[in-house]
Amino acid sequence: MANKDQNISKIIIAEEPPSGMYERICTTIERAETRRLRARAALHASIMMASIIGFVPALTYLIDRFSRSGFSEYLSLASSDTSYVFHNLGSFALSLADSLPVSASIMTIVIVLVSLYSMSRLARYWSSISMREHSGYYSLQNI
Amino acid sequence: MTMFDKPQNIDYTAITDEELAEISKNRDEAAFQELVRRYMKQIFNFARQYSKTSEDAEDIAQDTFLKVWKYIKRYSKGRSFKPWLYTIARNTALDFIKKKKAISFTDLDDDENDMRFADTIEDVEPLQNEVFENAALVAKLTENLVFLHPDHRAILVMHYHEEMTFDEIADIVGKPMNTVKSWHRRALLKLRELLAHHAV
Repeated sequence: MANKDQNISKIIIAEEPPSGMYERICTTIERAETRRLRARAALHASIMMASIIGFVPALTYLIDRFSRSGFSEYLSLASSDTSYVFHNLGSFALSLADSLPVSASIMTIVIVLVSLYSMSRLARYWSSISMREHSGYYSLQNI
Repeated sequence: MTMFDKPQNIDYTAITDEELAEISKNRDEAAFQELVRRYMKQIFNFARQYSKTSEDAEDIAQDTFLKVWKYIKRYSKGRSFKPWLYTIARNTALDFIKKKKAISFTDLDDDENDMRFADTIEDVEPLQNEVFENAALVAKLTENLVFLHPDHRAILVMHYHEEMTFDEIADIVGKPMNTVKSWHRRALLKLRELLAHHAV
């Protein structure tokens, strides 16, 4: 079997790849990676813009809900009549929690978190792209 | 981990293909470049079996590595990297051929016939040892490889050059092992036929 394998190997001649093929492959991959980073950066920039735009009505809605809920009255009671609040801490906390506009708060917090996350990702992608373009990464490592 | 915060002290040449693939999942281009360096020649020669020119083979090899880079996250841990790479290379080569509409694949699509064929032919040495002692005949056989189907040539390359088992090749081409064995025998018989024709 080994002899037969050696024989067949004789007729299959391995060609040398064209010169510069390795560099061309690496450059193609690097360009594809840069395109990917740009696409991701654009996606996160869009998400960030959308969340910033969405933040304004969300904040307005949140302020409106707070003003209607009586939450601020409970807070002012806590600062004006501390001893009463301490004596009835359980029911005060329950009322305070009850008056909190939960859905509006959650919505605003989610928008802020999404915006911050997109901002951090955008900054990361942006720095990666600029480092690639300005640090001569295209000159290829390890060649 | 991106390319900018990867550890700089890793000696990529000292680690296995599978480990490099795992590192490449983190978009580590240096690790991937090491994989390209290791397999570039093999994939080029594999692609050469499916293409008429070395330029086309380079295009196939380039597309293969680009696809591997793109879909590296789909590489599952614990799987051998080489067959996975060759599967992508073969699919890329077949797509390339289909685009060029160079050959018909109808003769390879009939698995049942292939298995029947595998059962009927004798397991004989299709090429005599003496053939290989004659340099002119060896050269003629090499020339005649172009008359084989690309998949048959690729099987010869994978089995005799890359020393892959029929089981591994079957995994790469996505066919039963009997089909692969029959392709292999067909290739050798075709070579014998061509050799006989040359002798006449």
